[in-house]
Amino acid sequence: MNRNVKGMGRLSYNATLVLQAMSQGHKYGFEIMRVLRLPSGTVYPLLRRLEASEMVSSGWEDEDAAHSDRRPARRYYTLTEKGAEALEEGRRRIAAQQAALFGDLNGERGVTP
Amino acid sequence: MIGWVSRVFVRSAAVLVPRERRPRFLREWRAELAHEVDDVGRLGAMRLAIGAFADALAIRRIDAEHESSGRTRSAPGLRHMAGDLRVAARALRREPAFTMAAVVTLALGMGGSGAIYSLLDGVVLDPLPYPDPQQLVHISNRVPGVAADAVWGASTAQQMYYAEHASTLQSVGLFRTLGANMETPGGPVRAFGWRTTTSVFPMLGLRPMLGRLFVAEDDRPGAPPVVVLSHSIWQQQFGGDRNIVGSSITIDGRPAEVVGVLEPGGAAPLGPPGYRSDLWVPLQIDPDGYFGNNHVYTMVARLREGYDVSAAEVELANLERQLPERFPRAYSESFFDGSGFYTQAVPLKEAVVGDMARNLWILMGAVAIVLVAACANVANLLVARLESKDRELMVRRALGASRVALARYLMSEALVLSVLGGGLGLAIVWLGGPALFSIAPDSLPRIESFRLDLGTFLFIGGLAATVGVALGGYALLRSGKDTGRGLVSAGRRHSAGKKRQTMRGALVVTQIALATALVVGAGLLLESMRRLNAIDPGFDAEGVLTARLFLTPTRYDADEQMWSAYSAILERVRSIPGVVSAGMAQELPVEGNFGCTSQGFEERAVYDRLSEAGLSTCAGQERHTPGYFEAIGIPLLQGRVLTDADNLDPTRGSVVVSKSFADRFWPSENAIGKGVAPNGRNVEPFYRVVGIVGDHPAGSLDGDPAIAIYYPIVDNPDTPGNWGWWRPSSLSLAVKSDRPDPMDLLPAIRRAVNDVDPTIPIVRARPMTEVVEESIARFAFVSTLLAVAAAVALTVAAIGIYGVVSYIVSRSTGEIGMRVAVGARPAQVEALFVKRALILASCGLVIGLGLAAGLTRVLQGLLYGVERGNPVSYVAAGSVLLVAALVASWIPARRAAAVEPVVALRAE
Repeated sequence: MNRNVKGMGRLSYNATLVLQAMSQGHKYGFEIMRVLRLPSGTVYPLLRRLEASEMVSSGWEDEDAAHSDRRPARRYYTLTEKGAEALEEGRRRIAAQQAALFGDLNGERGVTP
Repeated sequence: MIGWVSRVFVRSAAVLVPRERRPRFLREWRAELAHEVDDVGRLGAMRLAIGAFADALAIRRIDAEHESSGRTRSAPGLRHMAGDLRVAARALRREPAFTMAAVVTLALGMGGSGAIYSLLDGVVLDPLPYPDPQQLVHISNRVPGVAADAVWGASTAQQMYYAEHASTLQSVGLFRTLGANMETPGGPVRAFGWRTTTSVFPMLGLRPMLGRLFVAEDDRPGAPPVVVLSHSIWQQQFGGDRNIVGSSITIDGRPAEVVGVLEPGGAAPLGPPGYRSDLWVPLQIDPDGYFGNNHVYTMVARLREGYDVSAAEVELANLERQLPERFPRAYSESFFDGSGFYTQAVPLKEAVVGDMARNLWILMGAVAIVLVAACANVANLLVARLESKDRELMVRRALGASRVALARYLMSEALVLSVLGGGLGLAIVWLGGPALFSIAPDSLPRIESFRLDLGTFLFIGGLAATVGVALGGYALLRSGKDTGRGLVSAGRRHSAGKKRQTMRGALVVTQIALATALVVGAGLLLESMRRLNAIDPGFDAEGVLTARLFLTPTRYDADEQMWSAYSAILERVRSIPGVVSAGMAQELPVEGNFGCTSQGFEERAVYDRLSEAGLSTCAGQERHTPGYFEAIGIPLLQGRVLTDADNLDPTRGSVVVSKSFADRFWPSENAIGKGVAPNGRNVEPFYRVVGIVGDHPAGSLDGDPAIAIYYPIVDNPDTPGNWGWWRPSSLSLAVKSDRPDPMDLLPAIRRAVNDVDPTIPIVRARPMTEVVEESIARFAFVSTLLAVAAAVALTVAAIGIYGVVSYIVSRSTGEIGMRVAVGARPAQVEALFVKRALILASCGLVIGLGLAAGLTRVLQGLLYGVERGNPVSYVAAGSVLLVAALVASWIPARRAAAVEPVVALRAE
């Protein structure tokens, strides 16, 4: 991994969310923004970062499909294998953080890691 | 369809994206915006589009990181920027001359803008300190038949009628200035304030801090006298005594109950310059009493919800035509026809700020021009420096510095410069602000709200950021074109140099054009100022002391009593060593506006002539004492002036008129001996005109001549004229002295007045020259500031020319060497460069003069005795600019001529 690409040595919380959204089938910027309720100024730069660090790849939507919907073709993003691994790691970390902070649902105190 | 704003955002953001990535960026964003606008609405689309900037910056940064990866380990985020700024600051410190020049130029531009902004903010932009101030209107009257620009106040009849019948107005309030001698624990003081209708307090949202304000009962004629005090006079004169409510204080010799104290800051919106709202008493208009055609009140109204000023004006136009029917003694159809009387309503703020709003906007425009010229200058300096660093940049590039790194570096430098400039500009405002404040005239409206606050700070901060980004962007653009591309061939370098020269030339032409426009504007104002000062005002202000005297009404209720007090005071004053002459009048030239009071005439022919000419019978009706004309230096043109005998035996019925008065009412006859009477009374016996005196301007030095008639202090007992509110209980004293400073006489004059009656206060004692200066102070203020702005613009332009010629000289060392080597004389070399500068200057001049022809349109209303197209001003401005260009180019040209050919050729 390119150490110089900011924040990608260890996924940030928002980056993990973006990967998670994509893993659920949300494919383009606006859709991801809407499902995560994050501003455009956060989501698009993250997509660039993730793409630059090869965790996602992108390509244009099929022109014919877009045309039949009477709109320009969108740029679709998909998870790469590397992205999927990073997401898995990110999920574990978030789960651990949550457990530490909020404990389980029975209201027990969290465990300090 | 996506909104064009969003499109513009995306398009602008795309500029930041490296060229090769731009098409994908644009296509993706267009697709994103195109189909989602239905979901998010236009505003949402805009918000979405703003993200395009963050996206573009991310793309840039990722690119830059890729480029520099492996070579340097760049620090993330803020550390990056801080580092860049540090590097830039260090580099600038190594070049103090350049840094100084750039920072000072920017500071002048930003400081000037900040200073004028702070004035504009305090005077014009800040809302009036009343609830819903936009609903408040000022109602006054125009009388084009009397004088084109005369504005009359309102009458009690109008207030009564409009308050009852105007459906567009929620409430109507009337104000009348009130000066009164007030007894306080510390002795008698002269207090100022207002007689008002009860409606005024709720209308302005004024609230009591102690006690209560007026109730309807207080406003009834004959109700026990009550007074409301301002917070400040309560603090200053009554020591903040909370038991004052319910107690009685003596005002003008009569007791009045203090019913309340206003909250701090509670004041009337309008009033004479520097007027204080110390006390408020009810106006007590008697609905069944006498209503005169006395337009001496200030009327303020609050619009009813849903109506605007124009709706109110339309309604008032209808209502005013009903006045003759309701108030037949005050208004007549012929009065309307003769005077062209009509009622106007303007937003209260407009009435308060007056023409100062326009003046300050003009100044704001002027300093904005200075700022643009300053930026053009610094842009030139930056790029020139960039070129001198060509080699360094090339080396950096060759060593692997990315374009992004270079861009960051340039941007950082520009930002450091602009922030330093902004800081210094702020310091200029901070230190110079009080000086600006001190030369601002007292009559500047809302001067008390002038301050340097967070708004000014933010304004300058915003300017610095904008200027920094603009300059950095410009430098970047220039550098992107032809700097640091690695190996640059000599030929390309030459052509690139040519292009730069053109650009630099264009910037200098812009500066000169802007400076020319400002210099023309300032020239026009200074010429107006010169002509104003050269006016023969018709009186002699030199060596004259003036002061206002107030007699307590309870002690002096007859003209004879007043006369004996005044004549006793004058007798004592005249005996003071150093006094040449002394006299008194109700209004001083220039200071007073002389109002307009109907006169009666013995001859029917006068009325016929007036109605034919569409003029009214009104004139400035004055009372005065003997000695007044001598003291103030108004010449007697014909006949005689009044003497003590005219007051001791008022049945003589003598009166003096001004030349304008005689010319208006008896245009082709001798006025001496004609019969005239005050207040429109036109039955026997008439006063006889015994003398004609010279004219003087009313209102201000550039005012029209006062059409004045000077009655004696003591009224003719045979003429039961209704002097009413026009009693001579307060007069201005004028004392002509042979001392260098007439104010030296003030203590002796105070003693003289005190000897006659210690309860008579002397107010506003000052030299007559100050009265004259004050009458044009607002004009002088604007002219001075505009002249300063023009001088700064001129300096900036001269520096610009100097810079560009220096640059050409430094680039042309080889050419100079060749020329000198083949026999050119130094003078020829000098001429060569001066000529180039003059070509640039001429281009700027032509554009600038054209610009001035358009821009001076805004000055039209400010000019006095000079047309905005005045060729002298244009020629003078052109000459000033050309001389500046000549000097600024000659200095570096001389340097060029001194070049040794061997050195020059070696340099090449």
